[in-house]
Amino acid sequence: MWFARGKDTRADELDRFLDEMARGQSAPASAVEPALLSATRHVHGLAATGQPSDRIKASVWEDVMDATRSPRPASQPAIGSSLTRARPGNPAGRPTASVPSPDMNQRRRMGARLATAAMLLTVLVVGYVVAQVAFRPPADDQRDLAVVVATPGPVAGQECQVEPRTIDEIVSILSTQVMPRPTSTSEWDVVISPRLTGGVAPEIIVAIQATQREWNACGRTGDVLRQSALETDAYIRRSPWFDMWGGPNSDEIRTSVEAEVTRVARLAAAAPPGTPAPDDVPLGAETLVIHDEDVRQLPDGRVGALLREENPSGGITSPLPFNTFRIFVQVDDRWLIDQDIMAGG
Amino acid sequence: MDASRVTMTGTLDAPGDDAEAAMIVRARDDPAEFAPLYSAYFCSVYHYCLRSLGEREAAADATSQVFIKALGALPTYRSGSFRSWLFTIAHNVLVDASRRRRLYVPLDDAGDIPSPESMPEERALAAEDGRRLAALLACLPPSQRQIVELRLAGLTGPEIARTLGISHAAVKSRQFRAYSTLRDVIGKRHDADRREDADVVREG
Repeated sequence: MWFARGKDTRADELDRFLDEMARGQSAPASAVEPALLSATRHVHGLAATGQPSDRIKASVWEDVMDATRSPRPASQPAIGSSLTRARPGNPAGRPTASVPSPDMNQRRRMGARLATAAMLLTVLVVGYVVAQVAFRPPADDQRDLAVVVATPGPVAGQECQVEPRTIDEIVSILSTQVMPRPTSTSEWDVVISPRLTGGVAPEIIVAIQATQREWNACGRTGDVLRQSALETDAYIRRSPWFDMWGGPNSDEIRTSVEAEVTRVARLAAAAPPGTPAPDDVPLGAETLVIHDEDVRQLPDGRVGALLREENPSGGITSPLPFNTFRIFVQVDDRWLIDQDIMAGG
Repeated sequence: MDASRVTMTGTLDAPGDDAEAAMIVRARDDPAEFAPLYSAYFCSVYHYCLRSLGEREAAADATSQVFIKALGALPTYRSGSFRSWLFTIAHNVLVDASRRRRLYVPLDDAGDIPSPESMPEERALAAEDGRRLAALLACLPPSQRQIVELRLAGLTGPEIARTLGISHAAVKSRQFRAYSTLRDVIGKRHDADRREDADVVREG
């Protein structure tokens, strides 16, 4: 069902209040819900403290004036390079070297990485061969090695194999978006109730853990369309990652979906190997795990579990800062992600 | 407007439309006349960049790029909100930056922020507020966070719509969601703090 077009009074009132704040006027707040008003003021209050130093302000101004005085190369230095900004050792802010374009920097870095990787690989291969020929590891090391081999390593993109949804499919789903269901305290209390613990068949536990692992893998590589294939239509409709609320037309939805798919994939591709996924990839996609003892059978036939975050070295940490209970539902022969219920930390 | 009264260490309130238009005309002929506009918007642009990039050095670089581009593009500026035009440039600079690096680095990880114990009280409080704000904004998906960041930079709803190239209706609905989420997060943290305080009292 379409979210009803037309005015949402609460959103309009908040917008008016914020506009008055932006204009520095005394904002009539009576129409805005008190808790929302309080939170808004709190957030803006946090932003009001702290001023950049005069040194930074003057330094940036020197940059700006320097740019008008001496023609720069067509490409500006990459953000973070700070090759030309005035600083204690270079008070005039003159370029200390020619400023290569960001693309050239990137090619040089990529070339350096490839050379380093090739060298490391050679060292590893040679070292392995020498070790096999010359050394026999003591019994303890062999046991440790067996443990390492038996322990699942970081989820790799190769585990993301599900047939992806199409953009047309997602556009169609989002075109019938419904308002997200608010999370109520009682709902959280129900799903984490101790009386629901246990009673879930082992094969179902394995199945939802497999879905979660594959979801992580797809998120790790930024494959949003495959990740969406592990989610029900209802879950996608509620997903904040396709923030379409407001009733845009299908063309706008398609443009936004395509932009989101491209952006996430690009971010994931840009992340160096071995590093955590960029923050803009869906939350915890590469590190969320399900413990057997956290799985619960819900009264409506669905199965859910508390999500826990796995740290990079493989240890299990406490639940996410804002606890998330993920609910799965069986669709044909797969268990798909149907709903997330969140509670306070 | 007497530009000589405005120094780089001073702060000027954002000028009205007429004064702003006059500054723009003068700056087109003489870049040094850009100083009042720079002074008026530097803080908001810098903080906008800092909240997005999370690092002071990167934020300063981004701010440089914003004003360099703005000064260079000044001959093409037409009528309308200068702030909206300026933040459109800022938004594009940050989008460009996000393609080359992680979009967000928590301020807790920024090595250039000295420890609170070593700073005067005001700066320590400001740094702590910055960390709290960053933690709150991190709870939001990017499309909502952009809206809030631009609100914190002082833009109105229509200006945000122009900056992001979306409808005002989309701005209103996303920002309502964003602030509702922030309300819920803040509420839960308060509840957690109260429970923790109660536990401490009980154990004491």
